[in-house]
Amino acid sequence: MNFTDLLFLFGFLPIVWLLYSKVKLGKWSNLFLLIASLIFCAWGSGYALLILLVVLFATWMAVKGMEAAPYEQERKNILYAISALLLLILFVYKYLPVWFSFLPVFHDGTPASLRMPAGLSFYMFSCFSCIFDVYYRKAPAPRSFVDLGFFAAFFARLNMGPIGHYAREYDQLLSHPQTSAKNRKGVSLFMQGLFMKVIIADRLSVIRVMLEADRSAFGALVLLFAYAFELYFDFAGYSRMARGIGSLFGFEIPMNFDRPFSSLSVSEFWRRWHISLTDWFRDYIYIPLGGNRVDQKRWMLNIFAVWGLTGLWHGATLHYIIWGLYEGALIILERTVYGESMKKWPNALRHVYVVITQLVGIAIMCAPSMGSALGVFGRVFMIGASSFVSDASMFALWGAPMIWIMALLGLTLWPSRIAAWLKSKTKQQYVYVQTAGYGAAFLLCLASLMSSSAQVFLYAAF
Amino acid sequence: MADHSNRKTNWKRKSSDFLVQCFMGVLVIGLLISLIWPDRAFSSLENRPLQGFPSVSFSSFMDGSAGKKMKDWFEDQFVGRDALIHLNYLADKASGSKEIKDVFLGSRTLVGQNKEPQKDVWKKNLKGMQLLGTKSQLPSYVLAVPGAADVQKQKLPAFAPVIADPDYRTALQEIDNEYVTNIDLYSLLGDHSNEYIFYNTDHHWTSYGAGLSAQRFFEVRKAVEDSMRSGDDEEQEEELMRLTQFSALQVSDSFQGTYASKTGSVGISDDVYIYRKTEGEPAYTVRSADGTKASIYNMAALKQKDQYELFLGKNQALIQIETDSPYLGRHLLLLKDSYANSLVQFLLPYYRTITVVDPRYFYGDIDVLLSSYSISEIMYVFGEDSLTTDNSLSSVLDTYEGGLYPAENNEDAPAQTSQTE
Repeated sequence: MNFTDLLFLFGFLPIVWLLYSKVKLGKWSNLFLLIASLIFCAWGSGYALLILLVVLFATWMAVKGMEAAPYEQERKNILYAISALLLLILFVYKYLPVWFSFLPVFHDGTPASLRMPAGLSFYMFSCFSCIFDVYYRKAPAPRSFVDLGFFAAFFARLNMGPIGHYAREYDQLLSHPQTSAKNRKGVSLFMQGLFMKVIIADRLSVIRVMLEADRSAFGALVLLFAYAFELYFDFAGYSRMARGIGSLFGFEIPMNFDRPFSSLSVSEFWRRWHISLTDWFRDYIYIPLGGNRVDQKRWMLNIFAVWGLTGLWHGATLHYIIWGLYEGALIILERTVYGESMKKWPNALRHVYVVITQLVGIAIMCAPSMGSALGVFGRVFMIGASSFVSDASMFALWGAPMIWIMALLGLTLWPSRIAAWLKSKTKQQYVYVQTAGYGAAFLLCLASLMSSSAQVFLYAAF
Repeated sequence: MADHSNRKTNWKRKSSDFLVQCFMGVLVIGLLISLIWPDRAFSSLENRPLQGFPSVSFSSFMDGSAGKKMKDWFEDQFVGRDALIHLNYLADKASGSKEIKDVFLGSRTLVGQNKEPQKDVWKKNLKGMQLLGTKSQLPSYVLAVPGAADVQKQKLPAFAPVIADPDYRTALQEIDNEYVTNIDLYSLLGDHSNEYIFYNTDHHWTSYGAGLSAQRFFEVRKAVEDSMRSGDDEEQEEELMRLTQFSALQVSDSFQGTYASKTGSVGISDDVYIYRKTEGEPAYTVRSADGTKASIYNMAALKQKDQYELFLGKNQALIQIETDSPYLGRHLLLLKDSYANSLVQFLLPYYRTITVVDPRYFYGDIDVLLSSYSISEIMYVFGEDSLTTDNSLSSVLDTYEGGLYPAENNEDAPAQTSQTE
């Protein structure tokens, strides 16, 4: 089930929210949300539910085992065992069908029982977060299987994260009361995310598909922007919806995107883009490897290791790993070569630097293959381009002008500024203006969803 | 002061509740009405069957197909679905969008994007037409109907990137051989591009567009027959078809075709005309799997969504039309897709029999048709999308004498203009 499915919007979400709000659940609230999340997962497939239960149960056994273990070595053994098991599951579902597609079992396509369930990489990493935090004694083990299940599989973030950070969210697992403010924030975030996904990202997706067949230089350039903006609005939109849903159930999910294209360096970009994943790799891989408290050579190795793994997390094919190493190389170069001089550059130039490097990075990640990505870069510089400009490249801009305008505005602080200005002008009537605005946006999203132009979430593939 | 503060807090709480209550209220009301509202089996707006409530089995639950069908059911049966599709069209238009689902949004008109041509498909189709003409030694005429996007550029939004394969166009122009003649509809319809030759809401040509093409066909046929006739042959007296010999009768002003269904367009509809020969309209019978009828027009279609079914009704594998036309030796085999349906009205007076075959549904042998109906001419009428992406024509042609096409290794050879068998 997706957040943009009407059955979720008009069925699952209001029913679960109404029951949660109106029935005095008390200490059963996490159990209720876990059951709802398991139903949400089972809607995708029964196999997905089985895998989720196996992962949760194994994690539960491991963390309780670690908590009870009297000796450090025993804790370590449990850590190794559970890590191996979870990585094996991840390997079987995510990497085996790609790397071992020659096996007879994959000859007629991946069988339903071996198809990667939605969100596996995300909830698996949430489970790892719990395991590592318990192992490093950053937080106690969950009180119950229910708490662990709710933390890792809460339907708000089951499909595409944001990845949970156990120690930081431990207190909320104990209590996450609903409040009017949280409800209002939840609805607002959900509406904003829905609009970003359905109205902006899905329409950019149509433009992107059209331009993938274009061979002009200008078309390649517009394609790079379409790739980047679509990915941002798709995933940031989803993340915002997830935060909104969390808030509706009293659970604060941290921000996953913080206007990344306003960054002044690539390092800053990665503190603002898919924050939960960057944090995860920093907390559980980079810092245990020594972080930056090591000599420069070792530090570089750490960076490449972290970013190579980040690439591998995104996908099993070579271009994901190359993308990860590319991002790592940029961070190393910023730190060791031009980082200091960059600080003297005008901000506009630094923005341009970030945008160009990230257009390249996102194209490597989103293109079907490395060859295809290189083809796009080549065409931008007229290598292999059929012409400088084409009808398709012009139509990509002219055919949907509002989408580009909204996308560009959406990258800035202008939406917040406009909202603040409206609030100052309308004062006590603001809530009605806000409701009318969200109502109109929701109607547009609904109309777009109904005309079957909605696309699948891009990050669901990871 | 405290009272003021309390009032402010109360108001803040109420106002924050207002947004949430509205949101959840809309969702719950939408759910309830959708559940209560009776399910529909068919959407006349989208011209497609709608998903009914699915049955759930253990296997469909495990592989996820039950969840998917349930989602489809809810979306298809959602209350206000048609209105929302129209709203999406209006919002797209208002925001300056120029395309919805491969349909270009012109000014009060919709123009479909061409399908991406498949080289192996169109090569095989063109080659099959050449080979059948050569082997059967029957005069054959190819009417490849371009899309409106090809010939009515003025209707397109600026920079609209129309898909075209120049190799296909060249091969089509070079298809002519001793028996096969291409009727160049690209030029003909291009010359009339400002006229009502394609529907504004549908991919088909109008009866007028079909009539112009029929007129050109008869001109070319006469030229071909004149060129083939030796000096000793006596020319048979035949009236040359002119569109002016036909009178147009408007039967609808409310046709909303496939593009209207795809986009949910609002305020655009088409007129539908039928053409009858003013003098000398023959009597005829139409035989098909549906029985025998006295008319090629299915007037009941005017009351349904797809009014184009007015012409010959629903798609059928084989239709046999017998007329009392004076041209006794004229027996036409018409291999076609739906574009030909509105062309048949212009052919009736000039053939004794017309055997209409739609290769998408026909599984018989071409030899049997040629001999059973004493075919004297073959005509191919296909939209460019069918000819370049659908291989059903080549499949049917391949039934000729147990296999029309040469060995598999020659399949990729370019279409050639063989002069002799």
